[in-house]
Amino acid sequence: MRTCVITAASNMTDATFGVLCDKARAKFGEDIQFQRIADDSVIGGFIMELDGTVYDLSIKTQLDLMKQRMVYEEGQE
Amino acid sequence: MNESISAFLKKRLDEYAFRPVTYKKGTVARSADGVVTVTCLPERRYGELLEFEGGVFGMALDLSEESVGAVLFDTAESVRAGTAVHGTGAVLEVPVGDNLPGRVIDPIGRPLDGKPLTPQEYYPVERPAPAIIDRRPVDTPLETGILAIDSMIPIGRGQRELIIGDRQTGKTTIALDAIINQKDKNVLCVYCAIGQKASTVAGVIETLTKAGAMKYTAVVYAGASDSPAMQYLAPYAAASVAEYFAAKGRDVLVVYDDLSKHAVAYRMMSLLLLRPPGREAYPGDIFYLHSRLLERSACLSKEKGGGSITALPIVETMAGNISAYIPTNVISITDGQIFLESGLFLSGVRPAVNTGLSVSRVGRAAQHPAMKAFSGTLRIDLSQYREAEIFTRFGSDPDPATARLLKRGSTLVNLLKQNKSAPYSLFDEVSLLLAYRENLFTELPAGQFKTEIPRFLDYMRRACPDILRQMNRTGKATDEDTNDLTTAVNAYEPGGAL
Repeated sequence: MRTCVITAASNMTDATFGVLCDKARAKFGEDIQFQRIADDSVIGGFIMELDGTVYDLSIKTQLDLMKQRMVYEEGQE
Repeated sequence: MNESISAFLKKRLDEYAFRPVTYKKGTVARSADGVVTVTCLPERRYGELLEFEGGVFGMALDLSEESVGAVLFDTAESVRAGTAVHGTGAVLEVPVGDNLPGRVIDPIGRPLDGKPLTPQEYYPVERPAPAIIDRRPVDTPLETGILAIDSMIPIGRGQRELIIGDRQTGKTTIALDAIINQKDKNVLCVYCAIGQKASTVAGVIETLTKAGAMKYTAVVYAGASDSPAMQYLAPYAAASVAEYFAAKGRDVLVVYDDLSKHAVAYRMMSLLLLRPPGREAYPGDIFYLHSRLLERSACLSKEKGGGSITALPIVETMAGNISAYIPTNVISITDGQIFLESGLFLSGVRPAVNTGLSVSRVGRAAQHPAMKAFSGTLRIDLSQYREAEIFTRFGSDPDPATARLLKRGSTLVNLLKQNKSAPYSLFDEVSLLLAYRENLFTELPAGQFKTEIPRFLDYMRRACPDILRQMNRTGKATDEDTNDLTTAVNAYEPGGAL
Protein backbone atom coordinates (compact mmCIF):
# COMPACT_ATOMS: atom_id res chain seq x y z
CA MET A 1 0.00 0.00 0.00
CA ARG A 2 1.38 3.40 -0.95
CA THR A 3 0.66 6.54 1.02
CA CYS A 4 -0.45 9.75 -0.61
CA VAL A 5 -0.40 12.93 1.48
CA ILE A 6 -2.75 15.69 0.42
CA THR A 7 -2.32 19.12 1.98
CA ALA A 8 -5.22 21.54 1.54
CA ALA A 9 -6.89 24.43 3.30
CA SER A 10 -9.15 23.41 6.16
CA ASN A 11 -12.31 24.44 4.33
CA MET A 12 -11.96 21.84 1.56
CA THR A 13 -15.14 19.77 1.69
CA ASP A 14 -15.13 16.01 2.16
CA ALA A 15 -16.88 15.66 -1.20
CA THR A 16 -14.08 17.54 -2.99
CA PHE A 17 -11.48 15.50 -1.14
CA GLY A 18 -13.32 12.32 -2.24
CA VAL A 19 -13.27 13.37 -5.88
CA LEU A 20 -9.57 14.13 -5.58
CA CYS A 21 -8.89 10.66 -4.14
CA ASP A 22 -10.85 8.98 -6.95
CA LYS A 23 -8.95 10.90 -9.60
CA ALA A 24 -5.62 10.06 -7.98
CA ARG A 25 -6.50 6.33 -7.78
CA ALA A 26 -7.54 6.36 -11.43
CA LYS A 27 -4.25 7.94 -12.48
CA PHE A 28 -1.73 6.29 -10.17
CA GLY A 29 -3.29 2.94 -9.20
CA GLU A 30 -5.72 1.48 -6.69
CA ASP A 31 -3.23 0.60 -3.95
CA ILE A 32 -3.12 4.07 -2.43
CA GLN A 33 -4.17 5.17 1.02
CA PHE A 34 -4.76 8.84 1.60
CA GLN A 35 -3.68 11.09 4.40
CA ARG A 36 -5.15 14.54 4.70
CA ILE A 37 -3.37 17.54 6.20
CA ALA A 38 -5.19 20.79 6.80
CA ASP A 39 -2.99 23.84 6.27
CA ASP A 40 -4.55 27.22 5.64
CA SER A 41 -1.27 28.69 4.34
CA VAL A 42 -1.88 26.96 0.98
CA ILE A 43 -4.93 29.31 0.63
CA GLY A 44 -6.66 27.21 -2.01
CA GLY A 45 -6.01 24.21 -4.24
CA PHE A 46 -3.90 21.36 -2.87
CA ILE A 47 -0.43 19.84 -2.67
CA MET A 48 -0.22 16.11 -3.28
CA GLU A 49 2.80 14.00 -2.40
CA LEU A 50 3.16 10.46 -3.74
CA ASP A 51 6.24 8.24 -4.18
CA GLY A 52 8.63 11.11 -3.50
CA THR A 53 7.05 13.38 -6.11
CA VAL A 54 5.21 16.55 -5.15
CA TYR A 55 2.33 17.81 -7.31
CA ASP A 56 1.78 21.37 -6.25
CA LEU A 57 -1.48 22.95 -7.41
CA SER A 58 -1.87 25.32 -4.50
CA ILE A 59 -2.87 28.97 -4.80
CA LYS A 60 0.04 29.89 -2.54
CA THR A 61 2.63 28.57 -5.01
CA GLN A 62 0.84 30.17 -7.95
CA LEU A 63 0.85 33.52 -6.16
CA ASP A 64 4.57 33.06 -5.44
CA LEU A 65 5.21 32.39 -9.13
CA MET A 66 3.14 35.40 -10.11
CA LYS A 67 5.11 37.58 -7.70
CA GLN A 68 8.38 36.24 -9.05
CA ARG A 69 7.26 37.07 -12.56
CA MET A 70 6.19 40.59 -11.72
CA VAL A 71 9.08 41.52 -9.45
CA TYR A 72 12.20 39.68 -10.45
CA GLU A 73 12.00 39.04 -14.18
CA GLU A 74 11.28 42.58 -15.24
CA GLY A 75 14.80 43.40 -16.43
CA GLN A 76 15.14 40.34 -18.58
CA GLU A 77 12.80 41.16 -21.42
CA MET B 1 2.50 57.10 -14.87
CA ASN B 2 0.08 55.02 -12.80
CA GLU B 3 -1.65 53.87 -15.95
CA SER B 4 1.55 52.69 -17.50
CA ILE B 5 2.41 50.71 -14.36
CA SER B 6 -1.01 49.10 -14.21
CA ALA B 7 -0.86 48.38 -17.95
CA PHE B 8 2.53 46.77 -17.45
CA LEU B 9 1.27 44.64 -14.56
CA LYS B 10 -1.83 43.65 -16.51
CA LYS B 11 0.29 42.56 -19.45
CA ARG B 12 2.42 40.51 -17.11
CA LEU B 13 -0.65 38.85 -15.63
CA ASP B 14 -2.19 38.21 -19.05
CA GLU B 15 0.92 36.30 -20.00
CA TYR B 16 0.67 34.27 -16.83
CA ALA B 17 -0.79 30.80 -17.20
CA PHE B 18 -1.76 28.52 -14.37
CA ARG B 19 0.51 25.50 -14.39
CA PRO B 20 0.96 22.79 -11.78
CA VAL B 21 4.39 22.64 -10.18
CA THR B 22 5.82 19.14 -10.00
CA TYR B 23 9.08 18.23 -8.37
CA LYS B 24 10.85 15.28 -6.78
CA LYS B 25 11.28 15.36 -3.07
CA GLY B 26 14.32 13.82 -1.41
CA THR B 27 15.14 13.05 2.19
CA VAL B 28 18.25 13.84 4.19
CA ALA B 29 19.88 10.53 5.11
CA ARG B 30 22.88 11.94 6.96
CA SER B 31 23.88 15.37 8.18
CA ALA B 32 27.26 16.28 9.66
CA ASP B 33 29.05 19.63 10.00
CA GLY B 34 27.15 21.36 7.23
CA VAL B 35 27.47 18.44 4.80
CA VAL B 36 24.41 16.31 4.07
CA THR B 37 23.67 13.18 2.06
CA VAL B 38 20.29 13.25 0.37
CA THR B 39 18.54 10.15 -0.98
CA CYS B 40 15.71 9.78 -3.49
CA LEU B 41 16.56 13.00 -5.32
CA PRO B 42 17.22 12.08 -8.95
CA GLU B 43 18.15 14.28 -11.92
CA ARG B 44 20.05 16.92 -10.03
CA ARG B 45 22.61 19.14 -11.66
CA TYR B 46 26.14 19.72 -10.39
CA GLY B 47 26.14 22.88 -8.31
CA GLU B 48 22.34 23.05 -8.20
CA LEU B 49 20.72 24.99 -5.41
CA LEU B 50 18.72 22.72 -3.07
CA GLU B 51 16.01 23.93 -0.74
CA PHE B 52 15.60 22.16 2.56
CA GLU B 53 12.49 22.13 4.69
CA GLY B 54 12.63 25.19 6.90
CA GLY B 55 13.99 27.55 4.25
CA VAL B 56 17.64 26.43 4.45
CA PHE B 57 19.62 26.33 1.19
CA GLY B 58 22.44 24.09 0.08
CA MET B 59 24.36 23.15 -3.04
CA ALA B 60 24.61 19.72 -4.69
CA LEU B 61 28.26 18.76 -5.12
CA ASP B 62 28.42 14.96 -5.26
CA LEU B 63 26.05 13.26 -7.63
CA SER B 64 25.55 9.51 -7.75
CA GLU B 65 22.66 7.26 -8.73
CA GLU B 66 21.66 6.54 -5.15
CA SER B 67 22.37 9.79 -3.39
CA VAL B 68 23.38 13.43 -3.61
CA GLY B 69 26.08 14.96 -1.43
CA ALA B 70 25.35 18.59 -0.64
CA VAL B 71 26.72 21.38 1.49
CA LEU B 72 24.60 23.78 3.55
CA PHE B 73 24.99 27.55 3.43
CA ASP B 74 23.79 28.08 6.94
CA THR B 75 24.74 26.27 10.08
CA ALA B 76 21.18 25.07 10.45
CA GLU B 77 20.14 22.79 13.26
CA SER B 78 16.77 22.33 11.55
CA VAL B 79 18.36 20.05 8.94
CA ARG B 80 18.59 16.52 10.30
CA ALA B 81 18.07 12.99 9.03
CA GLY B 82 14.58 12.80 7.54
CA THR B 83 14.31 16.46 6.54
CA ALA B 84 12.67 16.92 3.11
CA VAL B 85 14.69 18.47 0.26
CA HIS B 86 13.89 19.53 -3.25
CA GLY B 87 15.96 20.88 -6.10
CA THR B 88 15.27 24.38 -7.37
CA GLY B 89 16.55 23.70 -10.89
CA ALA B 90 18.83 26.75 -10.69
CA VAL B 91 22.58 26.88 -10.22
CA LEU B 92 23.85 29.25 -7.60
CA GLU B 93 23.86 32.90 -8.61
CA VAL B 94 25.12 36.08 -7.05
CA PRO B 95 23.48 39.49 -7.54
CA VAL B 96 25.75 41.93 -9.34
CA GLY B 97 25.29 45.53 -10.34
CA ASP B 98 26.60 49.05 -10.36
CA ASN B 99 25.36 49.53 -6.81
CA LEU B 100 27.88 47.06 -5.34
CA PRO B 101 30.91 49.32 -4.82
CA GLY B 102 30.79 50.56 -1.26
CA ARG B 103 28.83 47.52 -0.10
CA VAL B 104 29.63 44.44 1.95
CA ILE B 105 27.90 41.24 0.85
CA ASP B 106 28.16 37.54 1.63
CA PRO B 107 28.89 35.00 -1.14
CA ILE B 108 25.21 34.55 -2.01
CA GLY B 109 24.63 38.26 -2.24
CA ARG B 110 22.97 39.06 1.06
CA PRO B 111 24.01 42.51 2.29
CA LEU B 112 26.01 42.46 5.53
CA ASP B 113 26.16 46.21 6.12
CA GLY B 114 22.61 46.61 7.34
CA LYS B 115 21.37 48.46 4.26
CA PRO B 116 18.98 47.06 1.66
CA LEU B 117 20.46 45.89 -1.63
CA THR B 118 18.40 45.82 -4.81
CA PRO B 119 19.77 43.22 -7.21
CA GLN B 120 20.24 44.53 -10.73
CA GLU B 121 21.40 41.36 -12.43
CA TYR B 122 22.38 37.85 -11.47
CA TYR B 123 25.60 36.09 -12.50
CA PRO B 124 26.27 32.39 -11.85
CA VAL B 125 28.91 31.93 -9.18
CA GLU B 126 30.82 29.46 -11.35
CA ARG B 127 31.52 30.85 -14.81
CA PRO B 128 33.91 29.68 -17.48
CA ALA B 129 37.14 31.66 -17.89
CA PRO B 130 37.46 33.89 -20.99
CA ALA B 131 38.63 31.97 -24.06
CA ILE B 132 42.04 32.57 -25.66
CA ILE B 133 40.49 34.52 -28.51
CA ASP B 134 38.80 36.87 -26.05
CA ARG B 135 42.05 37.90 -24.39
CA ARG B 136 44.79 40.36 -25.21
CA PRO B 137 48.27 40.71 -23.75
CA VAL B 138 48.73 42.70 -20.56
CA ASP B 139 49.86 46.19 -21.58
CA THR B 140 48.69 48.68 -18.96
CA PRO B 141 50.37 48.97 -15.57
CA LEU B 142 48.43 48.65 -12.35
CA GLU B 143 50.26 50.92 -9.95
CA THR B 144 50.30 49.76 -6.36
CA GLY B 145 51.93 52.98 -5.17
CA ILE B 146 54.54 50.84 -3.40
CA LEU B 147 58.00 51.70 -4.74
CA ALA B 148 59.53 48.26 -4.13
CA ILE B 149 56.76 46.61 -6.15
CA ASP B 150 56.20 49.16 -8.91
CA SER B 151 59.92 49.33 -9.65
CA MET B 152 61.05 45.71 -9.35
CA ILE B 153 57.93 43.52 -9.47
CA PRO B 154 55.57 45.57 -11.65
CA ILE B 155 51.98 44.40 -11.99
CA GLY B 156 49.94 44.86 -15.16
CA ARG B 157 46.16 45.13 -15.49
CA GLY B 158 44.87 41.61 -16.09
CA GLN B 159 47.78 39.94 -14.33
CA ARG B 160 47.55 37.50 -11.43
CA GLU B 161 50.21 38.29 -8.85
CA LEU B 162 50.41 36.19 -5.72
CA ILE B 163 51.22 37.81 -2.38
CA ILE B 164 52.81 35.15 -0.23
CA GLY B 165 54.40 35.15 3.20
CA ASP B 166 54.13 34.07 6.82
CA ARG B 167 51.52 35.46 9.16
CA GLN B 168 52.09 39.06 10.24
CA THR B 169 54.38 40.04 7.36
CA GLY B 170 52.11 42.67 5.80
CA LYS B 171 50.37 40.66 3.05
CA THR B 172 46.96 42.25 3.50
CA THR B 173 48.59 45.66 3.91
CA ILE B 174 50.14 45.43 0.44
CA ALA B 175 46.82 44.42 -1.06
CA LEU B 176 45.01 47.24 0.73
CA ASP B 177 47.64 49.78 -0.32
CA ALA B 178 47.13 48.63 -3.90
CA ILE B 179 43.37 49.20 -3.51
CA ILE B 180 43.89 52.61 -1.88
CA ASN B 181 46.20 53.64 -4.72
CA GLN B 182 43.46 53.04 -7.31
CA LYS B 183 41.71 56.23 -6.23
CA ASP B 184 40.95 58.39 -9.29
CA LYS B 185 42.55 55.78 -11.55
CA ASN B 186 39.27 54.42 -12.91
CA VAL B 187 39.81 50.97 -11.41
CA LEU B 188 37.09 49.24 -9.39
CA CYS B 189 38.14 46.91 -6.59
CA VAL B 190 36.71 43.78 -4.99
CA TYR B 191 38.08 42.64 -1.66
CA CYS B 192 37.21 39.05 -0.86
CA ALA B 193 37.76 37.95 2.75
CA ILE B 194 37.76 34.18 3.24
CA GLY B 195 37.70 32.57 6.68
CA GLN B 196 38.86 35.68 8.47
CA LYS B 197 37.89 37.08 11.82
CA ALA B 198 35.03 39.57 11.64
CA SER B 199 37.13 42.04 13.66
CA THR B 200 39.95 41.87 11.07
CA VAL B 201 37.57 42.56 8.21
CA ALA B 202 35.96 45.41 10.15
CA GLY B 203 39.47 46.87 10.46
CA VAL B 204 40.05 46.46 6.72
CA ILE B 205 36.78 48.21 5.90
CA GLU B 206 37.68 51.02 8.28
CA THR B 207 41.09 51.45 6.64
CA LEU B 208 39.46 51.58 3.20
CA THR B 209 36.77 53.99 4.35
CA LYS B 210 39.31 56.31 5.95
CA ALA B 211 41.35 56.38 2.76
CA GLY B 212 38.21 57.07 0.72
CA ALA B 213 38.60 53.74 -1.08
CA MET B 214 35.27 52.15 -0.12
CA LYS B 215 33.55 54.26 -2.79
CA TYR B 216 35.00 52.05 -5.50
CA THR B 217 35.42 48.82 -3.53
CA ALA B 218 32.98 45.96 -2.97
CA VAL B 219 33.67 43.55 -0.13
CA VAL B 220 32.65 39.88 -0.32
CA TYR B 221 32.91 38.29 3.09
CA ALA B 222 32.67 34.72 4.36
CA GLY B 223 34.00 34.67 7.87
CA ALA B 224 35.60 32.08 10.10
CA SER B 225 32.24 31.26 11.66
CA ASP B 226 30.44 30.84 8.33
CA SER B 227 29.89 27.38 6.91
CA PRO B 228 32.73 25.85 4.84
CA ALA B 229 30.42 26.06 1.81
CA MET B 230 30.20 29.82 2.16
CA GLN B 231 33.98 30.11 2.49
CA TYR B 232 34.38 27.87 -0.54
CA LEU B 233 32.03 30.04 -2.61
CA ALA B 234 33.35 33.45 -1.57
CA PRO B 235 36.18 33.86 -4.13
CA TYR B 236 33.99 32.61 -6.99
CA ALA B 237 31.28 35.09 -6.04
CA ALA B 238 33.90 37.86 -5.90
CA ALA B 239 35.13 36.82 -9.36
CA SER B 240 31.55 37.03 -10.69
CA VAL B 241 31.15 40.52 -9.25
CA ALA B 242 34.43 41.52 -10.94
CA GLU B 243 33.36 39.93 -14.23
CA TYR B 244 30.22 42.03 -14.30
CA PHE B 245 32.32 45.20 -14.30
CA ALA B 246 34.97 43.80 -16.65
CA ALA B 247 32.23 42.90 -19.14
CA LYS B 248 31.32 46.59 -19.17
CA GLY B 249 34.88 47.49 -20.13
CA ARG B 250 36.05 48.47 -16.66
CA ASP B 251 39.38 47.58 -15.08
CA VAL B 252 38.91 45.64 -11.88
CA LEU B 253 41.29 44.65 -9.10
CA VAL B 254 40.30 41.60 -7.01
CA VAL B 255 42.03 40.62 -3.79
CA TYR B 256 41.46 37.07 -2.51
CA ASP B 257 42.44 37.13 1.15
CA ASP B 258 43.40 34.36 1.53
CA LEU B 259 43.47 31.21 -0.58
CA SER B 260 45.13 28.99 2.02
CA LYS B 261 42.04 29.35 4.22
CA HIS B 262 39.95 28.71 1.11
CA ALA B 263 41.84 25.47 0.51
CA VAL B 264 41.32 24.44 4.13
CA ALA B 265 37.56 25.09 3.89
CA TYR B 266 37.42 23.02 0.70
CA ARG B 267 39.44 20.23 2.33
CA MET B 268 36.96 20.12 5.19
CA MET B 269 34.03 19.94 2.79
CA SER B 270 35.69 17.25 0.70
CA LEU B 271 36.58 15.06 3.66
CA LEU B 272 33.03 15.30 5.00
CA LEU B 273 31.75 14.41 1.53
CA LEU B 274 33.94 11.28 1.84
CA ARG B 275 36.11 12.17 -1.14
CA PRO B 276 39.48 10.43 -1.05
CA PRO B 277 42.17 12.56 0.63
CA GLY B 278 45.50 13.15 -1.13
CA ARG B 279 48.62 15.02 -0.08
CA GLU B 280 48.18 16.85 3.25
CA ALA B 281 44.61 15.43 3.16
CA TYR B 282 43.62 17.87 0.41
CA PRO B 283 41.35 16.37 -2.25
CA GLY B 284 42.59 15.54 -5.74
CA ASP B 285 41.02 18.59 -7.37
CA ILE B 286 42.62 21.19 -5.11
CA PHE B 287 44.77 22.47 -7.98
CA TYR B 288 41.72 22.88 -10.22
CA LEU B 289 39.95 24.66 -7.36
CA HIS B 290 42.40 27.56 -7.61
CA SER B 291 43.32 27.36 -11.28
CA ARG B 292 39.74 27.75 -12.45
CA LEU B 293 39.31 30.69 -10.11
CA LEU B 294 42.46 32.53 -11.19
CA GLU B 295 41.95 31.79 -14.88
CA ARG B 296 38.90 34.02 -14.68
CA SER B 297 41.22 37.00 -14.25
CA ALA B 298 42.17 38.22 -17.69
CA CYS B 299 42.79 41.17 -19.92
CA LEU B 300 39.83 41.17 -22.32
CA SER B 301 40.08 41.98 -26.00
CA LYS B 302 38.62 45.14 -27.49
CA GLU B 303 35.74 43.08 -28.93
CA LYS B 304 34.83 41.95 -25.42
CA GLY B 305 34.81 45.48 -24.11
CA GLY B 306 38.51 45.79 -23.29
CA GLY B 307 38.06 45.41 -19.54
CA SER B 308 40.44 43.55 -17.29
CA ILE B 309 40.49 41.67 -14.01
CA THR B 310 43.73 41.85 -12.04
CA ALA B 311 43.93 39.29 -9.24
CA LEU B 312 46.01 39.59 -6.11
CA PRO B 313 45.55 36.25 -4.38
CA ILE B 314 47.12 35.95 -0.94
CA VAL B 315 48.60 32.72 0.44
CA GLU B 316 49.91 32.26 3.95
CA THR B 317 52.99 30.10 4.46
CA MET B 318 54.17 28.31 7.57
CA ALA B 319 57.71 29.25 8.70
CA GLY B 320 58.56 30.67 5.28
CA ASN B 321 58.02 27.33 3.56
CA ILE B 322 56.98 28.27 0.04
CA SER B 323 57.45 24.71 -1.19
CA ALA B 324 54.41 23.45 0.72
CA TYR B 325 51.47 22.09 -1.27
CA ILE B 326 49.12 25.07 -1.63
CA PRO B 327 51.88 27.71 -2.09
CA THR B 328 53.54 25.75 -4.92
CA ASN B 329 50.16 25.19 -6.57
CA VAL B 330 49.22 28.85 -6.54
CA ILE B 331 52.75 29.98 -7.49
CA SER B 332 52.54 27.82 -10.60
CA ILE B 333 49.10 29.19 -11.52
CA THR B 334 49.86 32.88 -11.09
CA ASP B 335 52.00 35.19 -13.24
CA GLY B 336 54.45 35.87 -10.44
CA GLN B 337 54.67 36.32 -6.70
CA ILE B 338 55.59 38.91 -4.11
CA PHE B 339 57.34 37.04 -1.33
CA LEU B 340 57.27 38.68 2.09
CA GLU B 341 59.79 37.57 4.67
CA SER B 342 59.25 37.78 8.40
CA GLY B 343 63.02 38.32 9.00
CA LEU B 344 62.95 41.45 6.87
CA PHE B 345 59.71 42.59 8.46
CA LEU B 346 61.11 42.26 11.96
CA SER B 347 64.32 44.08 11.02
CA GLY B 348 62.22 47.07 10.00
CA VAL B 349 62.21 46.62 6.22
CA ARG B 350 58.57 47.31 5.42
CA PRO B 351 57.14 46.31 2.99
CA ALA B 352 59.18 43.18 3.71
CA VAL B 353 59.55 42.18 0.07
CA ASN B 354 62.23 39.59 -0.63
CA THR B 355 63.24 40.70 -4.10
CA GLY B 356 65.27 37.58 -4.77
CA LEU B 357 62.29 35.26 -4.51
CA SER B 358 59.74 37.69 -5.92
CA VAL B 359 59.06 37.86 -9.62
CA SER B 360 56.55 39.31 -12.06
CA ARG B 361 56.33 37.33 -15.27
CA VAL B 362 54.32 39.74 -17.39
CA GLY B 363 54.33 43.10 -15.62
CA ARG B 364 57.60 44.37 -17.18
CA ALA B 365 55.88 44.70 -20.52
CA ALA B 366 53.26 46.93 -18.94
CA GLN B 367 55.56 49.14 -16.88
CA HIS B 368 55.44 52.90 -17.43
CA PRO B 369 58.32 53.95 -19.73
CA ALA B 370 59.53 56.46 -17.13
CA MET B 371 59.68 53.80 -14.44
CA LYS B 372 61.28 51.25 -16.74
CA ALA B 373 64.11 53.65 -17.53
CA PHE B 374 65.14 54.06 -13.90
CA SER B 375 64.43 50.68 -12.34
CA GLY B 376 66.62 48.53 -14.58
CA THR B 377 69.46 47.61 -12.23
CA LEU B 378 67.67 47.73 -8.88
CA ARG B 379 67.24 43.98 -8.49
CA ILE B 380 70.89 43.28 -9.30
CA ASP B 381 72.03 46.05 -6.96
CA LEU B 382 69.94 44.63 -4.14
CA SER B 383 71.07 41.05 -4.62
CA GLN B 384 74.72 42.13 -4.79
CA TYR B 385 74.21 44.11 -1.61
CA ARG B 386 72.62 41.17 0.20
CA GLU B 387 75.48 38.92 -0.86
CA ALA B 388 78.18 41.39 0.20
CA GLU B 389 76.33 42.05 3.43
CA ILE B 390 76.56 38.40 4.45
CA PHE B 391 80.37 38.37 4.00
CA THR B 392 80.94 41.60 5.90
CA ARG B 393 78.95 40.31 8.86
CA PHE B 394 82.09 38.53 10.04
CA GLY B 395 83.71 41.86 10.77
CA SER B 396 86.26 41.98 7.95
CA ASP B 397 87.22 45.38 6.54
CA PRO B 398 85.72 45.65 3.06
CA ASP B 399 87.70 47.01 0.11
CA PRO B 400 86.58 50.43 -1.25
CA ALA B 401 84.46 48.92 -4.05
CA THR B 402 82.59 46.67 -1.62
CA ALA B 403 82.21 49.51 0.86
CA ARG B 404 80.60 51.60 -1.87
CA LEU B 405 78.33 48.73 -2.82
CA LEU B 406 77.24 48.30 0.78
CA LYS B 407 76.57 51.99 1.21
CA ARG B 408 74.51 52.21 -1.96
CA GLY B 409 72.70 48.99 -1.06
CA SER B 410 71.70 50.15 2.40
CA THR B 411 70.55 53.49 0.91
CA LEU B 412 68.34 51.60 -1.52
CA VAL B 413 66.88 49.45 1.27
CA ASN B 414 66.07 52.60 3.21
CA LEU B 415 64.55 54.30 0.16
CA LEU B 416 62.30 51.30 -0.44
CA LYS B 417 60.89 51.43 3.09
CA GLN B 418 57.42 52.89 2.99
CA ASN B 419 54.63 53.58 5.46
CA LYS B 420 51.35 51.76 5.03
CA SER B 421 48.37 53.53 3.43
CA ALA B 422 50.79 56.07 1.94
CA PRO B 423 51.11 55.21 -1.75
CA TYR B 424 53.54 57.13 -3.97
CA SER B 425 52.58 58.64 -7.29
CA LEU B 426 54.63 57.74 -10.37
CA PHE B 427 56.43 61.07 -10.12
CA ASP B 428 57.38 60.38 -6.48
CA GLU B 429 58.68 56.95 -7.37
CA VAL B 430 60.75 58.21 -10.29
CA SER B 431 62.17 61.02 -8.14
CA LEU B 432 63.27 58.55 -5.47
CA LEU B 433 64.88 56.25 -8.02
CA LEU B 434 66.66 59.20 -9.56
CA ALA B 435 67.90 60.25 -6.13
CA TYR B 436 69.27 56.74 -5.70
CA ARG B 437 70.96 56.85 -9.11
CA GLU B 438 72.54 60.19 -8.32
CA ASN B 439 73.75 58.90 -4.90
CA LEU B 440 71.88 61.71 -3.20
CA PHE B 441 71.23 59.96 0.10
CA THR B 442 74.34 57.78 0.32
CA GLU B 443 75.79 59.73 3.24
CA LEU B 444 72.50 60.11 5.10
CA PRO B 445 72.25 58.20 8.41
CA ALA B 446 69.64 55.42 8.28
CA GLY B 447 67.55 57.03 11.00
CA GLN B 448 66.91 60.19 8.99
CA PHE B 449 65.27 58.67 5.93
CA LYS B 450 61.84 58.75 7.54
CA THR B 451 61.84 62.53 7.79
CA GLU B 452 64.05 63.18 4.78
CA ILE B 453 62.01 61.39 2.11
CA PRO B 454 58.76 63.38 2.57
CA ARG B 455 60.82 66.57 2.58
CA PHE B 456 62.63 65.56 -0.59
CA LEU B 457 59.41 64.62 -2.38
CA ASP B 458 57.81 67.87 -1.34
CA TYR B 459 60.81 69.71 -2.76
CA MET B 460 60.68 67.79 -6.03
CA ARG B 461 56.96 68.45 -6.48
CA ARG B 462 57.59 72.16 -6.02
CA ALA B 463 60.69 72.18 -8.21
CA CYS B 464 59.15 70.42 -11.24
CA PRO B 465 55.38 70.95 -11.21
CA ASP B 466 55.03 70.61 -14.98
CA ILE B 467 56.85 67.29 -15.15
CA LEU B 468 54.82 66.10 -12.15
CA ARG B 469 51.55 66.76 -13.93
CA GLN B 470 52.64 65.40 -17.26
CA MET B 471 54.29 62.26 -15.90
CA ASN B 472 51.38 61.27 -13.67
CA ARG B 473 49.10 61.72 -16.65
CA THR B 474 51.06 60.05 -19.44
CA GLY B 475 53.56 57.85 -17.57
CA LYS B 476 56.34 59.07 -19.84
CA ALA B 477 59.45 61.16 -19.29
CA THR B 478 61.36 62.73 -22.17
CA ASP B 479 65.15 63.09 -22.11
CA GLU B 480 64.64 66.77 -21.36
CA ASP B 481 62.42 65.92 -18.39
CA THR B 482 65.04 63.51 -17.12
CA ASN B 483 67.70 66.20 -17.35
CA ASP B 484 65.51 68.71 -15.52
CA LEU B 485 64.72 66.17 -12.82
CA THR B 486 68.39 65.24 -12.45
CA THR B 487 69.32 68.91 -12.07
CA ALA B 488 66.63 69.34 -9.44
CA VAL B 489 67.78 66.21 -7.60
CA ASN B 490 71.38 67.37 -7.57
CA ALA B 491 70.38 70.81 -6.30
CA TYR B 492 68.81 69.24 -3.23
CA GLU B 493 70.74 69.15 0.00
CA PRO B 494 69.85 66.12 2.08
CA GLY B 495 69.57 66.86 5.78
CA GLY B 496 70.07 70.58 5.18
CA ALA B 497 67.57 73.37 5.56
CA LEU B 498 66.08 74.47 2.27
